[in-house]
Amino acid sequence: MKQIIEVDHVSKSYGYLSNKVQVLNNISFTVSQGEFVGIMGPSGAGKSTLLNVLSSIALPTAGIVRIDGQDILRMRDNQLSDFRRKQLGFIFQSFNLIDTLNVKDNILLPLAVDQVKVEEMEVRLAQVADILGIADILMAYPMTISVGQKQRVAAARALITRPKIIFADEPTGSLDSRSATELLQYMTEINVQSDATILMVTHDPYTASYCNRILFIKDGVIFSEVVRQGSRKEFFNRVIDMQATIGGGVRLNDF
Amino acid sequence: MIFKFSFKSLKAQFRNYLIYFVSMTFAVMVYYCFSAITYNQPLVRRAGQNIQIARTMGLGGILIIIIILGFMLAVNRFLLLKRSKEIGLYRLVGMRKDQVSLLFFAETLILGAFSLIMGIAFGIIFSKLFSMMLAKAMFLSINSIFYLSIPSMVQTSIVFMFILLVVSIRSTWMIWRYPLVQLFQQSQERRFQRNLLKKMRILLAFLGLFLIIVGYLASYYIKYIVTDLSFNIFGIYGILFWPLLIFLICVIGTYLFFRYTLVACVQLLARSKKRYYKQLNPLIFSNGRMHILNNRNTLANVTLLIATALSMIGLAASLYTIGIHTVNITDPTDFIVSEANEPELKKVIGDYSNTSIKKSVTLNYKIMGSLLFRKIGKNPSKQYIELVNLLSLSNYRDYQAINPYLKPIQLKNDSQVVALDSFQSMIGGVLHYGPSIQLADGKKLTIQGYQSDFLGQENMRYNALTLIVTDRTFQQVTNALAYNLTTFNVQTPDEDDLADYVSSRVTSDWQAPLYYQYALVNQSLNGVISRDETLNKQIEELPQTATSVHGENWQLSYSSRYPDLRYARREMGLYVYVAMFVGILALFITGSILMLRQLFEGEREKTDYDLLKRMGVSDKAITKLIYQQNSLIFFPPMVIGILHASFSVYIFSQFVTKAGYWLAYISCGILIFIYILFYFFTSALYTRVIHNYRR
Repeated sequence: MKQIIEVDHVSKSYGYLSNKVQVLNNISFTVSQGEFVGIMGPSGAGKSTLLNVLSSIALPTAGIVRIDGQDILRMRDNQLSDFRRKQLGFIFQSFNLIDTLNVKDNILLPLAVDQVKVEEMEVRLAQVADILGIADILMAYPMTISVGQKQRVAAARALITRPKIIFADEPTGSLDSRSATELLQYMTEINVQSDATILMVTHDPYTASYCNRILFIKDGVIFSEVVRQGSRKEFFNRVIDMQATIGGGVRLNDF
Repeated sequence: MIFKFSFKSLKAQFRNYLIYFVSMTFAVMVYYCFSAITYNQPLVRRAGQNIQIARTMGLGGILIIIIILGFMLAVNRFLLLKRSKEIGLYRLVGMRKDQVSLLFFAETLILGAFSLIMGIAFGIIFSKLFSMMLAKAMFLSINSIFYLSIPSMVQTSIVFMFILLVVSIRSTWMIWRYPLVQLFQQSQERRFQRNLLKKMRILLAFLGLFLIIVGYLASYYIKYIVTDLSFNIFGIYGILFWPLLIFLICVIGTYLFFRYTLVACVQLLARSKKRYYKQLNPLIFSNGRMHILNNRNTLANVTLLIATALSMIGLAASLYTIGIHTVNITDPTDFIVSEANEPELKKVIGDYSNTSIKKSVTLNYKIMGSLLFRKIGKNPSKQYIELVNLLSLSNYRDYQAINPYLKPIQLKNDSQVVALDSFQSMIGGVLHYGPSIQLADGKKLTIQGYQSDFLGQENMRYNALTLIVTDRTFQQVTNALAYNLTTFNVQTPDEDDLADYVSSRVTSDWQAPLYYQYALVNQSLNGVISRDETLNKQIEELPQTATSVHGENWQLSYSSRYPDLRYARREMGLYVYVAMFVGILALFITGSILMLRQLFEGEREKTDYDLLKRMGVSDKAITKLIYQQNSLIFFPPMVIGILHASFSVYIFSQFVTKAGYWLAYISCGILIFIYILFYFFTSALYTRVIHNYRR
């Protein structure tokens, strides 16, 4: 299977001298096309930083990041913008919808930036709205819809450009459990139907259990990796175990 | 302890306070400059010879206090909104409301004290500049030195303390009202309300545009409306009534325009899907609409303030030119003197050192009764029995040699005359004379045209209309009283001093009375005019009717140009200076209020721009978006304000034809310059705020 993300000895630090904090420490891993990868770890482990580095928002201090074979560190600023716009999609914990635009315009904004034809826009909009079940709230404004709907709109906006990779930073963090389940089901569907690679940061084991594979990060290094085999329930239990191991550092060692 | 805390928080938020500090210093500086000129002794002493400088300056001072107070309240509000989280946190850790208020009050006081000192220091430097400008505007020659005005320092401090007190009371009020729960909620302010139905909004949008257009059309045809359409209803008061009505229409129109029309325009533009879904256009349209909706009252107020300030400058400029113009009408040459006073005046001037009389011209007038027709506007013309002066064409041409304001006159034949009317030179096209005029000796003449009266002081010509007639007609006239006036220019090193010297030695008084009695019998005019006092006794008992007129007229002994000119320059120069000072200050303040509003919005919109960046929108495109959005805030008030002002100046120019409006045009230029400067400055700062946010 094609390697879509290749992370090679990436490090990232903030600050200088005595104030220096090593957030990512020599991390290497790869993600294949069509995978649904979770990144888990305690607060401050470097999850979000990793996501920022992968999505070219932040630059690593050392190492190489290749996406679809291209070294993103070698791109110029404009190239990076184009690359992000065409290849990547984002979903955030706080949705980041623009309050002044209605749902439809929020979703279509990336296409407008890309100068896609209006007819083409309508076709794509109908598709994503159908997949995410938001066809009936297209004319509403973000202020008037529920949080679950907001996150689905954000997902639709990420999806409409048909990105190769979708980065999701705590997508269920602001949602109640029903909305969260719905969203995760939709995301799984997107993953399967449109063959999009999804990279999701979360600290919730239930959310993580929808992934195919989970990378556990602790103190800036990859602590371990859990691959889904068998049922989701079984996977969920293994995730819980791993979390306990990272948290207390005892459960596996004890036995 | 609280004060120590306050000082620390002041140090920590230096950047936010810098804006506050700079604006307070600016306010103090402006006020000090203005007040220093009021107390600037040498200037007042010289100007005080004939006018109340302090009264005009006092009015200007009050206007400036109002403008500065509005500005300070606006700045303070932004700062408080920015720090609302801080207020909430203080309350959360258990500080009482009065303690928080005290904290803010202490801050305001410390900052206020610093900016008072800084502002006065800058004011001392700048007041020199401003008093030089005032002296220039009033044509005073004063070598102004750095003048430390203690009373104006005291006055500035008192005014500034008052402003700080008002600002503090307002912030205490805001702190008191602050609901703690707000700390934990996202700001909901950005949602815009749409209470009205769509149809109603469209209707009001059209109404706004319609009212403004009606106002403009009415001002364009103001002369026609006042003189022809409504003269029978309002009479001369139409000159007051109609501009006031137009002003009201435009004020309402402006509010509706910014509330509904502008938004409707943006929405109309967004209707084309092709245009709408193009690059960042969805954001431009929606954010633009939101900015306009959130700032609609500010925008309308700013527009009206701009228009008022510009019109005020235009009015002051026109007053100035009218003042000078009036001097040219009453005193086209340095001196005009009656026959009786001529030797005395010439001797006094001759006695003054280094002064010589240049060419002098004697004007031979004949004064007599006449029957003439006059009409105002489109009203039917009425007949009047009045005195007229006659001046021969050759005498008029002699006068042209020393009087540059006289226009060349050609008469077609002996029965044609040109009327010189002083009313014509102020408000043109309202008063008409009518085509024929009958003199008391039975001669019938035709008025071939009328011109502004630049012959000089009407009071020396018994306040009568003057006709320029051919030499032959002049000689043929009988039954008239002849008198002479002498007019001349002088050459002197010090006009100022000469004027005082002459006025202290030759007194100007009323003299040489004449008496007349005319009656219309069978459409022909009969009567007498004489200097004989016995005639006065005879006619005193007669009744005044439309067909029988009698009376006495007196003549002014002499008239001198320079004192009038000096008075006009000082008084009008002062008006222009105060109007310019207040007007340009208003332009600056409106610009900076708009700037602060935009920067405040910028802080709140950081997350939106961050999203765009993640979405892959380049920095360049984001910067362009910022510039486009700011242009929507800065340019509509500027354009509409200038349009309003130019139509109001157009109204003045319709009635006051001879006024110069260059100062109003220069002020429009200054406005455009200031606003473009603010626009670029704001956009640059906004861009920095947005781009700094990202790592």
